[in-house]
Amino acid sequence: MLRQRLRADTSPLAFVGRLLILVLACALLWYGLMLAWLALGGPPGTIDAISGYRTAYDALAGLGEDDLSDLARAIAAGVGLLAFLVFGYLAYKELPRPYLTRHDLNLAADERGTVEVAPRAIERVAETAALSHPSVASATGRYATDYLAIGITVRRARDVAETLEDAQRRVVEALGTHDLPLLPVHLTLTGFDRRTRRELA
Amino acid sequence: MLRQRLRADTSPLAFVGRLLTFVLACLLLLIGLLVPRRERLVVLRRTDHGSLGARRRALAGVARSLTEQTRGVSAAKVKVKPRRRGGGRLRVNAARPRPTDEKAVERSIADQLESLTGPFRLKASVRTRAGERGERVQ
Repeated sequence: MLRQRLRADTSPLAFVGRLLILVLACALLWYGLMLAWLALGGPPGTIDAISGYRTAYDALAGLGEDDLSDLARAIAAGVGLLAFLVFGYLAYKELPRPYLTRHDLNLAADERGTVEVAPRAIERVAETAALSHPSVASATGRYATDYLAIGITVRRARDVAETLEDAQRRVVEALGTHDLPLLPVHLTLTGFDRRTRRELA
Repeated sequence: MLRQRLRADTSPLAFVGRLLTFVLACLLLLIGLLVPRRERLVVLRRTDHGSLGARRRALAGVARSLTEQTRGVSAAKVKVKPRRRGGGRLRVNAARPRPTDEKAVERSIADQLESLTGPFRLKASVRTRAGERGERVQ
């Protein structure tokens, strides 16, 4: 299969990884601008005062073989190894986890044949169950192999939280009624039908 | 040694060009990090059996409808800002007729929105202003 979709859920650690990339990108941007300014003829004293590039450059360029003791080298190696492991793990968590696109759900298979349900049929079951709630004006389902996403539009502003909970319960019950596997049901309020404009309190 | 190697680098113009490319790449990296890839939802509940959430525009529409049902409110504008860890902020800007008490109307709006702000963990900030001439009356 050439084209595959990506899972939407990511690890919470991916946020930490992004934060580190943000810090690194800001530092690179800042020193890139300082270097560009310097190369375009900016005053070196001012640029050094706001960025400290000369101090850092002198300290690093002046390092010799005798400047570092064995203990300092061991500490640097340990910290480097730890940084490699931590940043490597964070980079691994940043990777998207691909999965196969949706396909027919195989309910039973034996020597006589197979029983399969098309994804649209599962979606239709879920949509009908959600629409059976009197406050739900429309519903759209999306079966994604390992979960079922439902988007609903409500026609009543009152008790929206209860409406969402009840609609989700109805969808789960409908899956059970039709002997379909119980998938996680992600229900989202996607719209509000304001045709009636104002309700009587 | 490093210093001499750096000084023997290519012409200043090529150096500046390379640096600007570098800055541009950093900007693209920042855009990729900061621009959201998909709409953030206001999450009501998240369990192993699934999640319940709402789009910010839909939730704002519901909140606006509830606000306009409050006695003493003639019009309202609502904005919803979700937080990363669930919940969010609900900003209500409502218009009221001049003779009504500002604080009382704000309290009534907050009470009216309780059915929405409680379960969705939204922090409501309600402001009212006296309606202008020509605006819709209650």
